[in-house]
Amino acid sequence: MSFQCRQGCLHTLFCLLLSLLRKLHLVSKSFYRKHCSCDLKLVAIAFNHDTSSLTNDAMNLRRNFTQTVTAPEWTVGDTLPTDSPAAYAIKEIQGKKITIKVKFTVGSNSVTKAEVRAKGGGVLGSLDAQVVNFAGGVSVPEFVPFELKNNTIGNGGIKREDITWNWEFRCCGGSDWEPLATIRHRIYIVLEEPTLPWKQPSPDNQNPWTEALDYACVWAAGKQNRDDAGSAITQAINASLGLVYDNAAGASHYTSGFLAIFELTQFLAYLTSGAGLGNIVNCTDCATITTTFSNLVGCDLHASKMGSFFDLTPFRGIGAAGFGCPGFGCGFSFHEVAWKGGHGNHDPLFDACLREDGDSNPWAAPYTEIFPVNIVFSNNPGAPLPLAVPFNDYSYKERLCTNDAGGIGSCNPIGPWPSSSNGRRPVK
Amino acid sequence: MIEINSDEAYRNQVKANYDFSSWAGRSKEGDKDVQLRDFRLSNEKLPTWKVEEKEELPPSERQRRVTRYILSSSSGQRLAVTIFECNSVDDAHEALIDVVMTYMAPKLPRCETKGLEIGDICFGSHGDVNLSVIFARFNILVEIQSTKPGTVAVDELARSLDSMILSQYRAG
Repeated sequence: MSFQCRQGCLHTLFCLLLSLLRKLHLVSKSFYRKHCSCDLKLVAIAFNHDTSSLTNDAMNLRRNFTQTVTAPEWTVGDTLPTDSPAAYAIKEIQGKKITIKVKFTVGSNSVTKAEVRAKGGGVLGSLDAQVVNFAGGVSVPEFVPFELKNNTIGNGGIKREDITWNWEFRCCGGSDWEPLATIRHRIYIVLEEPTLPWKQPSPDNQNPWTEALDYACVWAAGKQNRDDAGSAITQAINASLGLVYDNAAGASHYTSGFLAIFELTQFLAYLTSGAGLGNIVNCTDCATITTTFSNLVGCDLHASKMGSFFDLTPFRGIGAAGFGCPGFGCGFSFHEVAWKGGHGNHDPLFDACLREDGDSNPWAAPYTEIFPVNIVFSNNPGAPLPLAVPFNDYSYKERLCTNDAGGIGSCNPIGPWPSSSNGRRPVK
Repeated sequence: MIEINSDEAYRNQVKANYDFSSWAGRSKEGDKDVQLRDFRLSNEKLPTWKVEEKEELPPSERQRRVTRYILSSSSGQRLAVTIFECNSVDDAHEALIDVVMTYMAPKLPRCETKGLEIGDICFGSHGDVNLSVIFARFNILVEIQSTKPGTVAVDELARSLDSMILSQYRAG
């Protein structure tokens, strides 16, 4: 019990005595509560209490295209962690004082102070005890700031964690901590503020969706930098979602409006139930999925294409059992990947659509597959063709194309599709 | 309004691959001024299919309306059907190019080569059966896509839709 709370309170002695008697089982718990409790209730918790900033509180979120998330995220009646989500950006909050804001009520207008704390809290940490003032039965200020002094945000990189706070209180005059509420929340930790197509100004249907964070933060769990996060997300898309390449036509299934929009709602439906628009994808889909989910955790990728009309060396397409060419033949009219920087020859890229032959002769069997992640487009774009074997560069296009003018010589960076919002397709 | 992807050299190469000049602007029935309106799918019109979802998509300057349907059959087939109601026959044919230039396959086979004779112009997919089809009839462009790999062709639905378009035209 703090000095502030006890000061001037003769009732304290009485309650200390009752407390002692209760420990000796000489008075009942209900008797103690009747005389020394204050019927304190936790009414609401706000994580994102400042929608104009994400440096001292949680960021702006929404559940999906149609459903918003507003503060206070938790109110009485919410029981599931997903009922009250919050997301924090490691880079922006590092070294800052982070707070949540909490509203309480008490059963009597005569109660003016109580002490509150919370144990547990996972990545957000426990909440140190602090005195809450009351006027007219409601906390003053209405939403009381609690600093997350014991948080460990950033220690484990990207994270999705369901935390539990065991709230406790003791009234002015009370000497025992009493349970107040056990409340669960879903907390997302990302590297930094999500980049386009995701936006922070709120409300906006491009605010980060928790239904997408649920996947992105798991695929990139524990990653501490953009390259590792992008690589992990690329590999998850390629290897663990049951997606298969459109060998019939190489058509996009998850964009609409002539490649302008990412049908994320449909894609989430696929991830959740297997329905949506199905499991067939092409390179545009893979590049868009990679870009959208990576940028949600703080990467800065964009979908950009290469081309045009070039010949392919065997690769392992997404969902394929082994190396070979697409069903429509050993050529692409174009190819699209998630690219860093200015999508130039020396800019690294991430391709979830296929795996390449990573050995010293990528133009012939045997095939030693590699995930093309954080790999430069071309180390030596002007080299005379054919290139010599052994070829040991970690360089993308040389491992994708035939070793001649129709392959490597015809595959060059082009840039994003004009309709694609600079390769960061808005989500719908 | 969606901005069309306008790399002219690339577009011209796609047109060459699809032999565009041999079929562009031509209708097998009626003339190139035919303009059908409000061509829509419904459970009543497609008794063997169930319309699971219907959604209006953003059109380009060549269309009045773009609608995507998700259809399912009792046999478990699930197809995505996009109907582009274009401003003219010419726009429907240009829109076909707009669509196939977003395909990674450099070229698709004509439907006739796989026994599917529909539309003013129709392209199927590679492989033993058509898992996707794109065809234009008058000013209506239709794209049908399977949502999962398999061996069941989309030809039956494609024929039904083409018949519905023709019926609407013949009914005046």
